Amino acid sequence: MLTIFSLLPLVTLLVSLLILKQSASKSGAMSILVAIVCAYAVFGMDVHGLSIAIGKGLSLAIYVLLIIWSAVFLYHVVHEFGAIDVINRNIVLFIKDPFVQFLLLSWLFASILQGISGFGVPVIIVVPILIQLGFDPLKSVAAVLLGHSWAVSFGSMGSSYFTITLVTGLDQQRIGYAMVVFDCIAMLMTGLAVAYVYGGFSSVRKALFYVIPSTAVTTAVMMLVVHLDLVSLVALMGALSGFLTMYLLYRLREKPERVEKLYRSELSFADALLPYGVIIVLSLLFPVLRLDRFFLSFSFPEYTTSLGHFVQAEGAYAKIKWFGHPGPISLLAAFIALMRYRQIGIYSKDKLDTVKTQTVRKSIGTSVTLFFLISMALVMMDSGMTAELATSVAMLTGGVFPLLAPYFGVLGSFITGSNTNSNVIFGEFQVSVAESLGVDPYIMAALQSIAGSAGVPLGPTNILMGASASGLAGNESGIYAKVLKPVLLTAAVLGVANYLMLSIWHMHIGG
Amino acid sequence: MRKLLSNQKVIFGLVLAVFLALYASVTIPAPQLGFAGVIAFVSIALTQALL
Repeated sequence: MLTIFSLLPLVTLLVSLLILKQSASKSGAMSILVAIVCAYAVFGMDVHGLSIAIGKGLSLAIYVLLIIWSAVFLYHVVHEFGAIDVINRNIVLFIKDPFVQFLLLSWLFASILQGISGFGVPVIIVVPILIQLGFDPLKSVAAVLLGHSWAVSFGSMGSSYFTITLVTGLDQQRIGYAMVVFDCIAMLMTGLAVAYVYGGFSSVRKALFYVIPSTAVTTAVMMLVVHLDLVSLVALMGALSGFLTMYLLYRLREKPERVEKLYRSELSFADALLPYGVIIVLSLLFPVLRLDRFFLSFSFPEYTTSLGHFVQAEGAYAKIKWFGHPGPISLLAAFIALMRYRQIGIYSKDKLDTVKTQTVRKSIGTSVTLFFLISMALVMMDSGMTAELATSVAMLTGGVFPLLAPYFGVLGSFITGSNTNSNVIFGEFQVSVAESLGVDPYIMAALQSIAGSAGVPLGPTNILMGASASGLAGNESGIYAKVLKPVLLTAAVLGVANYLMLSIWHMHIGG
Repeated sequence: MRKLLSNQKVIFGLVLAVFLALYASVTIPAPQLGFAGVIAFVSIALTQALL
């Protein structure tokens, strides 16, 4: 019975979004109300517990919103001052084939950005570029959401990778090797999914020429980087190597004319790329400078529901590092770009006012929805609803659990919008099930993280970011319809690989 | 009133105020403030769901 109640908020969200076609804001409001009622009336969470859970949810939302607002601000700066136009025209100079542009940008360029900063930045940056290049907004959002998802687990300078290691207590490098194996599958699947979004099965056939070699090179590079223990750089180096491989393949096949002269307006190509260069440099520089002591965080007390579900106290929750969080980095990049625009004489206060107005207009609706959705995730987690759901499914599935395990990772990302949070919710659970089944926990932990990564396109926060970046706010159900099947298919393939490795071949990557 | 409650900027400000109240209630601690915060949050969600 408890399981049915623990499912109710998610069912409400899905029905409202996909069947009733309500906006994400309305769906979020309805699901948080259902979650609160279930937590209070069924799972024994009193008002104090609800205060803690909603407080945590809102503090996490502030963490994510800082990224969204600053990334949207940065995008409008480069758009309003003409930099995005210079970038687009130069991309077309280098890559004439629209299919290659679409695949390269949404599958690999977005993944490079994920490797550096993540947290929705690839969606906010790449989707508008694709739309400016003339691609359909809905296809652009779906392609970028799917395309960069393989890089999420090792991305954001390794945040999800660190998390799965922390919550399971397993050796980092061993999990890393297993993650690369699963990530190879996820990368292949997402590359083909992007091609499918572009033009159906005929595009999938065309994509094989690029996707298979790029995936092979990326996998080899990622394995090497894990071996060298450069944990923060796995996704970045992997995606960069894949990007270069695909571009070389394009040059070999299409033999395009040499680009004699880059396009420029009042801005040169280098000026146009400046803010993105600043983001890359600062993202690599700040961790080296060890400025971790400058941060904002929240603390919450421990809590136990009347059904006995214990929630640990949090000393530094939703930690916003002033020199490390993508929000301040994006704002700094925008500020440096504005200084440069002033230097070359294209700055105007009117344009900056337009940037501010557009930023508020595009971000405000997303913000309200995020408040509801993240609070719902936290109420579900802290009341024990998520744990109840996981335990019931594990009991029901038994020996075929490895086949179904990826869906927990996907579910975690769907509820919370974050691979890291999915790992927090289900990481330890997956390892416990692996141990009770007598199979390799490293493989199961790795599977959890990569499945969480594959499920990121379904995260309401990511869908909202995509909708916000593409001007499709209010049509979130359309985006869901595009990304749902590819994500479920990727999870199914990951499940088969996991089942083969654990239950048939009895592999032990963990040694 | 309906117009005011469907204004996303107003809702955004209200939720931030609720967050401050909830955070204060669990750190001070002040249970009544927490109760008021939860009721306010539920009311905001309810108006968003219905409007």
